[in-house]
Amino acid sequence: MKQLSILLLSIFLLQSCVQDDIINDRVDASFSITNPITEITLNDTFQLTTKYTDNVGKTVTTNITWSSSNEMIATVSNSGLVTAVAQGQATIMASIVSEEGETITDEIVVTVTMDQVDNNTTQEKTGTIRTTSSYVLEGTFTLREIPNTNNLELVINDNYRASSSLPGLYIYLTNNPNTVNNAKEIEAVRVFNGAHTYIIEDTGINDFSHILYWCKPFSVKVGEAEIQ
Amino acid sequence: MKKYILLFAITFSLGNTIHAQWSKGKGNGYYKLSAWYLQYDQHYTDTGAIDPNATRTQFNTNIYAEYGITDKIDILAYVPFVAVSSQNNQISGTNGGVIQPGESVTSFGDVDLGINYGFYKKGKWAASVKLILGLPTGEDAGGSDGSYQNGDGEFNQYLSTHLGYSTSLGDLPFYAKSYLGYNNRTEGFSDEFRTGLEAGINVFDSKLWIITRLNVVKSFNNGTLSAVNSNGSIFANNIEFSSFGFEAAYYITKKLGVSLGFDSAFDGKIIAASPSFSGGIFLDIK
Repeated sequence: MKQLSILLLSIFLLQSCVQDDIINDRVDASFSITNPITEITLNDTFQLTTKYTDNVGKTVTTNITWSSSNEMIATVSNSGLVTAVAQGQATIMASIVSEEGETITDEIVVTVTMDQVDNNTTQEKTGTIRTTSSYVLEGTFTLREIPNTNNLELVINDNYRASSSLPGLYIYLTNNPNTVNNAKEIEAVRVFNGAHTYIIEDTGINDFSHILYWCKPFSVKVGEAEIQ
Repeated sequence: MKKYILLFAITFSLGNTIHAQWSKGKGNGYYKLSAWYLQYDQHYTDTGAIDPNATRTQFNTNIYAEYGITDKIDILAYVPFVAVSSQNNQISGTNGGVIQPGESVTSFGDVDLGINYGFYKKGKWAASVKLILGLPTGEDAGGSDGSYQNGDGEFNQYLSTHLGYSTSLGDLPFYAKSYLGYNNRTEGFSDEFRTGLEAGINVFDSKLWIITRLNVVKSFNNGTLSAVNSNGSIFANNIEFSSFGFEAAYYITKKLGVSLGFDSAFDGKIIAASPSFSGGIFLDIK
C-alpha cells in the first residue's frame, strides 16, 4: 500500500510538467535610416523614415534627433523631412538614445543637384538561406516591393532545397533571428524543392532584417537568411 | 514526434514482462501499474544527427495486464489511462518576458489489446507468437496547434514471434530471449520491422531480477505521410531507433513486487534523444 501511495503521489506531482526554458534572444539594438537617398533635386523635399529595434528585435517608437551638417545646402525637420535649399552636399544625421542609454546614429550624404532625380523607385533586396540545424535547408531569394501597393513579393529561387522531414515548418520575417517573438508569420512552408513565391501584405521592405525558418511544433529555429 | 514517443513507451512496456514468451498458464496472470516519464530538449533528426528543441515532456500512467485463458494462450492489454504531453514556457533571457507560453494536454492514451500463443515449449526453450492491436483511443491533435499528442490516431497490427531460453548461471536463474516483429500501420504511416534482445538474471535469493534489453525499430518507408503538416502531427512517421535499457524488478512477496526501468535511444531518426524512466508495482500470479 505504501508503494502504491508513493506511485500515486508521483503521478499527481508530475501532472504539472510545464516549466521554463530560458531563450538566448539578445540582439544588438539597431537604428537606421530605412530609405536613404544620395541625390535630391533643388527645391524638392523627401521624407526620410527610420527603424529602431531594441535588444530583442522589437520595433520601438522613440524620439529621433535630426540634424544637417550644412543647412545652407539642405535642411531636415524634426520629423525627418529633407528640403533641398542650394546646390552642394550635406550630411543628414539621425540619432536616438536606446533603452540601455546608448546613442545610436545613422547618416546619409545628400547631393543637391539641378538634375531631375526620382527617389520614388521600388526597392529590391536579396539574401541566402542557410540551415542552422542538421536538416537540409538552402537557397537564395529576392524580396521586392510590389508597385502601387503596401505589399512585398518574396521570390525563393530554383536552388532552394529543404528537408521534407521538417515538421510544422513556417517562414517568418523578423528583426531577431533567434525567436519568432515580434516576428511576422508569412505562412506554413508547403514547397520543399525549387522556386516558389510568397506575397506578404502590409509590410515595408525595410521593416525586417531577416527571414526565419521555424519548426513551430517544437519552437526551434532551423534556418535563417539576412535580408541585404 | 509524439507518436514515436508513445511507440517508445509501448515497446518497452509490452516487452517489459519477465519471461513474456512463456505462457502464464491457465488462470495465472501478471498485472502492473506503472508510470512512464520522458523529458527531452533534443532529438535525432532525419539524418541521425542530434538537434535541439523546446523542452517537451511526455508522461503516462498505465496498467498492463496479461492473463492465461488456457495453458498456451494469454490475452493482454496495455491501457494508458492518464497521458500527459507538455512543453515548457519559452522565456526571454534578455527581458524575462514570455515568448511562447507552455502548454499541457492530459488525456487517455492509445490502448493495445493482444493475444500471445505459446506454440512451443520443450526443456529450456520456449517460443510464442503474439498479435497486438493498437487502438487509436488517445488524443492525436491536442493543444493550441495540435502538436500535443497522447495518441497516434492510427490503428496498427503488430505481429511478432518470440524465442526464449532459460537456464542457470551457477545457482542463479537466467534467461535470454529475442523477438522479430512486423508492425502494419494505417493512415499513411510506414510499416515497421522490430527486433530485440533481452536477458535477465535472478539474484538475492530469487527476489530481484536484473534485466537488460536492446530494441531496434526500422521503418520500411512505405507510408504516404510526410511532414508537410502545420501541427507536426506526422513528425513521427518513418521513425527508427536502436535503444538499450535496464530494469530491476524486486519481489516483495512471492507475488507482489516493484520495478524501476531506464531506456534510451543511442541511435535513431526522428526520435527523442533523451532517456525515459519508468516505475511501477506488479502482481505476478503464478
